[in-house]
Parts: sequence; C-alpha cells; structure tokens
Amino acid sequence: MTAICIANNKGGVGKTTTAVNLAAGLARLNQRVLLIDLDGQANATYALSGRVHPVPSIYDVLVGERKLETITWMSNEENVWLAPGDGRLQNIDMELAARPGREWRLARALNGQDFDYIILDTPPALGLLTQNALAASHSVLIPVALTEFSLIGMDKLDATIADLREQLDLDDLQVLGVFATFYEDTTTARETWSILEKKFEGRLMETRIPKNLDLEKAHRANESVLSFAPASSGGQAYMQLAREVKRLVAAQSRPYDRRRSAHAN
Amino acid sequence: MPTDPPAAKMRVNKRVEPPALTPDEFARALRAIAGELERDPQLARRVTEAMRSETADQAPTADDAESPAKKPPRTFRPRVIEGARPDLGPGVPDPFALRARLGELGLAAALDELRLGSLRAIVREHHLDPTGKALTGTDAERLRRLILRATATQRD
Repeated sequence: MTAICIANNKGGVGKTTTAVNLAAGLARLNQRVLLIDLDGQANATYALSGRVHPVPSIYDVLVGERKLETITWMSNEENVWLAPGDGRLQNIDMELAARPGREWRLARALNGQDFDYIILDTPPALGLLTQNALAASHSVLIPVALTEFSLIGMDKLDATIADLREQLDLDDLQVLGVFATFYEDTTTARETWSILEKKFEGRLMETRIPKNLDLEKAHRANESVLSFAPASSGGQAYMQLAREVKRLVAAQSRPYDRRRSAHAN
Repeated sequence: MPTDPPAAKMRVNKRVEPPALTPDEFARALRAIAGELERDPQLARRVTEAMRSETADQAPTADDAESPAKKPPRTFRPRVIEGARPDLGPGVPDPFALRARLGELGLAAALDELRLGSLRAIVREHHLDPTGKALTGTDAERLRRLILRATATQRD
C-alpha cells in the first residue's frame, strides 16, 4: 500500500482535481485505489459521487470511534473507493488538538487497509488535517499553478514538511514530485518554472497539466476527466501523471515503516 | 353601551374548540399523507429534510448552556447545489431497490437528479449494458432510459 498526500497550502492550484483524476488514472492501471477527502469543502466527494457533505464521513473516523471501513464506499469511478469528507472538517483542528496522538489519528485508521494506493486530498492549510495526512503518507505530491503567489506558498509548505519530518520523526516522508497545473506556454509560466527548477532540483515532474475546460466539466458530471473526456488534453495529461507516479513510486526506496506501525497500534 | 354581562360571558366562553379527530379519521389522514409521500418523491425529500432540521434544531440541554464550546458542529445543509438526495444512501445507487421502494415514477425522478457520472456508475456496477456501448459518450438521458428499461425488464 502506498499513501500519497496531495498538498499545497495555496488554494485553487488543482489539489482536488489532481486527487480525483490521479485516483482514476491509477485505477485504470489496474490499481485498487482509496481516495480520502480531508477537505472541509468536500469537493472531491462531490466530484466522484455527486454527494454534498454526506454524513458519516472521515470526520467521524478522526474524531469519533468509527472504523474507516464503515464510511468507505464505491465512487462513480471503477476501482476507486471513496472515504468522503464533510463540512465538519473545517473546524476539526480544535477538536483534534486535545486528543492524544493527534497527528497520528489518520495513520492509525489506515493501518492494515487493503488498497494499492491511498490518495489523500487535503485542505489549503497546514493545520492538523494536513499534518495527519502527511504523517499517514509515504509521499507528497505538490501541484503548483505557475504564479508568483504559488512560489511564496511553496516555501512555507517546504518548511512545514521539514518541520514535521523532525517533530514526528518522519524520515522517510518524501516529496514524490512537484508538477505544474493550469499550464499555458507563456513567458511568465516558463520563468516561474525555471525558479521552481532551481528550488526543487530533481523533484520536478515531467507531466504538466494544461488549462482545460473539460476538467471542470468532468467535476460537474461527477466523474473523472478520464471518464468524461479521456481524449482531451486534461485527460491525456492526468493519465500520463498516473503513469509517472506509478513509475516514481516503484523507484522509491521503502524502508519498513516501524514508526508508523508503532503509532498506528 | 353597558355590557350585557350574561352575553359578554357567553362571548368569552364561546371559544370554539376544533372537533377532535376520531381514531378512524386520524388513520385515514396518515394513510393519505403516506400515499402522497410515496407518489411525490420531491415532497418526500422535503419532509425528510424538515424532519432532519427538527432534530438538528432541538433546544439545547442544560449541559450545552453551561459549556457552549462542547456543542457538536452542525451538519452542513446545502442550499445551492444539493447534490444527490440523501435517501439514495452511500455508494452507487441500486436502481432495482429504488424502483421497488419508489415505483417507476419515483425511480425516474431520482434518476433525473443524478449526473452523468452517477448514471454511468449505476449501469456499470449493475451490469445493465453488456455491450458497453451505452457507457461511451456523454448522453445522460440515454443512460436514464437504459436504467428504466433494465429495471422494468427485471421486474417483469
């Protein structure tokens, strides 16, 4: 099982679109995938099921005593299961803060899950939800819209990952890759990309997700772009991203995760 | 004009109490309401949501008054995009179970509210299109017709 956290504290960069379409892409590569919606906006839940803020949800696993299996159901995409989110996640930091092992509650819930991939969609914030996601993940995938504001946010995210590695002893948490979303071949995009290349040398991915209206239309249709418009530029890019992720994961060294197992028990 | 005490007393005491329903009338009323709810899925959904609101808006207990910080977060109630109706349950809806519960018209109404992705999932998960041709394209109406036909055939 490989758990990948889609993270960026900047909103609107394509985290949910990536979580939804990467999950669908991996499923098309014969992987069993669980998508967990950790964002209080619960857009990934809506995008793959048409449900708006269903209850119970992952909130009841993190705060309550529910088992993950009791809130997981088949999404609209074949071989993609969904652990939905709902609006109560928006205020969960206060509720989690007082609980023991507060950063490890998700890792504990994922222990023993029988999926090939678990994709975690996170909110645009670096609070306890994202920390839970990072602590439960083997890798982080960072979508970046090539704008000035995105670059400012990247520094903060990078620092947070470094801090968490130290605080929670997450030595094996790796940045799987940084990739561009809403990509257009403009001078600004190329300049921004070259800045990222200097900062994240060796971690920039080959795949670039283009600006494509079919991505939004697919959300409205409550399915992935791979089902809605597989031949579109967005559809082809996300299929390429799934292949690249699978290749990168296979190449990662995966030491036995004693630390997560210890916290998970 | 001086008040005629006996007449005034009669006016005051002339509060007309509505006649109580007999048990038979009450049972007929409940049956009529149940029938309407079965015939009109939109009405059923509004009643369900109203009942949920009643539960969510119950008066706070003494404990809540003492420690408002402990109040559980309210469940979000969507207004603009309501999404798939809650009574479809989680996961991919079962059109056969829906037809059995809601009838043909109720199933048609439920399908009308579902988007392309959910309709495709129903067809796929319940193996309603052996040829696979219906699953291609973006014609949601075609999928609705397929599901209605398939559930009618099964029922027959």
